[in-house]
Amino acid sequence: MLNQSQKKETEPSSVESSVESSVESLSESLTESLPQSLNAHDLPSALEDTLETVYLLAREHKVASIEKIARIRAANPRETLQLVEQLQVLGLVDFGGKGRINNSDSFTLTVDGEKAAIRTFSRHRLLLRLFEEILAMPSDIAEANACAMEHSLNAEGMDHIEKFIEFVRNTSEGARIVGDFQKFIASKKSGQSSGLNSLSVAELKAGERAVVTEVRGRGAIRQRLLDMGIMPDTVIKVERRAPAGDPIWVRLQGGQISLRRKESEAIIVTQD
Amino acid sequence: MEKELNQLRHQTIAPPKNGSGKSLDFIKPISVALAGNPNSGKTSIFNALTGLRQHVGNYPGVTVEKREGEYKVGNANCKVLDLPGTYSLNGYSPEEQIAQKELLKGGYDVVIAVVDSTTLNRSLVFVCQLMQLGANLVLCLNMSDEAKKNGQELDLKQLETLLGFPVIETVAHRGIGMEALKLAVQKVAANKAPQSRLVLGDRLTLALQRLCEKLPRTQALGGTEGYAWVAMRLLLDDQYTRELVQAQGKQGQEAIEVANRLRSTIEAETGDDIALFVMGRYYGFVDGLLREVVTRQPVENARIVSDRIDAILGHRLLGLPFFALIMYAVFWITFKGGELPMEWIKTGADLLGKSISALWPVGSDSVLRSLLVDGIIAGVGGVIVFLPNILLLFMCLAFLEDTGYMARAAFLMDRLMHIFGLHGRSFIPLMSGFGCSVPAIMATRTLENERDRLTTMLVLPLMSCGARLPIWMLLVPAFFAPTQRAGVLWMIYMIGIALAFVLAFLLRKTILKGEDAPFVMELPPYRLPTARAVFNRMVERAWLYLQKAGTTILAVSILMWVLTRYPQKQHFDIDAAVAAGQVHVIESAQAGQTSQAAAQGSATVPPSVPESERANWLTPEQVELRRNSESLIFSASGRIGHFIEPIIKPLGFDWKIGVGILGAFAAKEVFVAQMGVMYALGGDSENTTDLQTALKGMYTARVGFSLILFMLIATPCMATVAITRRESGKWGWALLQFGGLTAIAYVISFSFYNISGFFI
Repeated sequence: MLNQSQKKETEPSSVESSVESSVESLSESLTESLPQSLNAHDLPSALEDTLETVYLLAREHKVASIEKIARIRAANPRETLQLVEQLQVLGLVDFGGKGRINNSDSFTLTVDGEKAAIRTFSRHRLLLRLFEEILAMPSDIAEANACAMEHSLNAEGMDHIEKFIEFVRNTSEGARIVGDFQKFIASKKSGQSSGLNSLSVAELKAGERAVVTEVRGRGAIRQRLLDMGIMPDTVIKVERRAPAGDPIWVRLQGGQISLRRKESEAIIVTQD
Repeated sequence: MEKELNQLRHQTIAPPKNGSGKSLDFIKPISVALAGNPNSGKTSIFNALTGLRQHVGNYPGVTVEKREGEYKVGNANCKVLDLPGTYSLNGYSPEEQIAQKELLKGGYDVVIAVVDSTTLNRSLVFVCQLMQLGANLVLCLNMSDEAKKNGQELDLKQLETLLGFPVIETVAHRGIGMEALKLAVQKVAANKAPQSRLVLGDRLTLALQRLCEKLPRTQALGGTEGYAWVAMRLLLDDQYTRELVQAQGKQGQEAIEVANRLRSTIEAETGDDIALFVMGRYYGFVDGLLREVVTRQPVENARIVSDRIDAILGHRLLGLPFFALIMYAVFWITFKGGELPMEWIKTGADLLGKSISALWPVGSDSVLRSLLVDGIIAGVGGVIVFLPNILLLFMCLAFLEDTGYMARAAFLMDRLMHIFGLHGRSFIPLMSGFGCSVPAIMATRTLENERDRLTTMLVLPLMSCGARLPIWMLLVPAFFAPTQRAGVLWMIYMIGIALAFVLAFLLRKTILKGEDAPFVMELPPYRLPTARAVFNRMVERAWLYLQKAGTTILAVSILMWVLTRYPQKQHFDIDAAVAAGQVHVIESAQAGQTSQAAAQGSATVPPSVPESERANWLTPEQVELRRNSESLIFSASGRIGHFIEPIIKPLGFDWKIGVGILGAFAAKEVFVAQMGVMYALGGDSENTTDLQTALKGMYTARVGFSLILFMLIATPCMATVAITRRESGKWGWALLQFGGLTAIAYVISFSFYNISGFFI
């Protein structure tokens, strides 16, 4: 998948320029169905979805038909037919030389159509991975959001999402972040007030680093912590612990201080 | 001014300043206050400014150390006050309260804000508070060499422009930048009325303005300059300020209400509580400032050497063994290193005693000679002889403190201290207690919580103080073999420490129950202290010790001499017994046969004398000792000793020890002087048996250790009792300390003496 996208990146001109030009021509003929906000190189979402379904069917059964598309997409066959006709106008599907097709007639994608479909489909799969596997959305919500978003992201935005997924999947930090985030989500769901990556300095292990989000408490202790530079958004690192595990020795931007467990519990941090 | 300052900034020595016409402007001395964080080198600046022209006292009512001094710049005389080191002026600790009050009281022509250049961020927030106070400031960027070594570069001109007052870089312990600092102080004193360039955002500024207008215009609130600060403190809901404003009548009450309304508005609008909001504004100002003036950031891990040392000394497993090792080294240096100079002092005192004695004809009995030699020289000399130990101990403590190791020790020890209800910071006063209880009790002021402070104060006399060292140096070699001595000494200290902990725990469980104070302690990077700084501290402490020796101890030595000499006995029982034939004096010729045997008494008694009679045959020396003994029994001190003997007998003590214990209340070390005087009575210094040999002859090791225990635990000296009363504010605490410790000592010595009797 990443290879595909990389390939796409190295030679995007053929697909995109063709799609762009097709959209331009399309916009002339089908102005009423094109919202102004769409990027020039993007297909209307209904068309993309249809194209994607055609692609999936074509991959599985070599050919697709209006009937099957409508069934899979739970759409009106008449509307589906119109959409496929629009795809034909753009030169993305091949009716095998026929001028018009019936609901049961088979058809396939053109070379351009397949490229455009792969592009759309990879976006869909990427977003689905992001939502479902990384952001831990339930699959139905992930699917719905992926469908909605895949059409509105431009190439650059998609590229960054791909990079992010690559980072998360291929680096240990990324994997840890995802793990922590998912635990956090899980704890939120189970009704806890703070998740796993929102903890107190007392819970940090020696050598761990975190960002202060809150300094709790009142009066003398809190004021002293603030005086020593423990403010929200500062980075704090637990350097070591005393022989009995308490007090702890922390490093801040402006120096090193030691705190007892009780004081360090008042400092809420997040590990990101 | 700029130009001159820049010229002077890196110069150590001032260019010769000729008295010019301008000198007339400075007839009145300039009053200067030094403010800054702990560990910022504030005291080094103070010492570098004033040199030896300083004195240490206390703030009225409290016992936070008050250092004052003066220096001359050009023709101007500057009086400098070294404020207690604080991290803020929030008034949560006694130090913070004093710094705040002292500055609010105003009257300072210039306030020098001393900051550690390596922790600019945090330090400058403190400076913001000083700006808010409306002080005429000079910013002193101390330890600038360290910051530069870390790669930090600053645009000083820009910093001065943005702050609106002079900024001077210094390296106090090397004297760098001091002349520029003095000049800047002089200039600021001449051009007052600073325009505060503190930018805290519209919301806070407007709130403060509105509040300022509502404040009653009274002197108690510190005049115009103080209003901004009072308004800020009121907004922050500071108890001290609120009470102060409340005392100003109806208008004050109204101002408080306005402050409350403004506070809740700010809190509602920002979502932050007021303390965080205000600190956020301060940090915001400082961040902006530093963005403009820091032309090069310090490298990320600037403390690399210090961190590597901490990786070992602060290590979870290695830390404590190293700590124990360091403590052992301190005691080894103190006691082993002190041996040789002690010999010199002893020899010197002997020579002095002899040469003074030589002024009188041989055999004459002069009261003055006896007073000089047996009273004064023997008494004070016996104290001064331990000066090397005290100097060395304080040298070690000053070194540990100045390197920053003391903070690590507090870190390592806090958990343990906490178990017993003590604070990690109690460790430093307790450790100082090994030097002298008096300054150590004064040092408990660093503890913010009243209960922590009282607990530490009450158990502190159990830390074997420097004045008890002479007692150990006398008793330990007298009763223990050379190979055992270090171990016994170590044990003495450990028993004291263990008892202090147990008592602290009991106190925190009973009469001093309550919440713990915050433990937020800075761990400054290790710094190599200058020899001068350590030397200064050592001499300062030694001087305090000597002053004590010179005044209290001299007075007590003379009193003791009188008590042991008068009333004088005219007719001795032993002489009467000899005359009556009940006691026989061995002929000197016979005694001279074997001097060793003579010393053992009955060995030279003629063989014809039956076994039962032998106790009645004495050498002339023994007769003399009997006379001395009778003389003592007859004297006032002997009578007091005898009076308490029944009480202390169960501990294995005789009346002589009783007299020594009485003397130890005046000052612990007097015990040694007293024993010296008592055993030197009536004899020429040539015939004086070494005190240790005498003690060894008189008492068993069992009595010796029982005595050591008693001297360790019982009866803090009168100076300790007096300082405890002053620090705690109540006689009750001082008397509890005095009575409680003495009772505990009695029980422990009694138990030891009687239980050990079964084994030895």
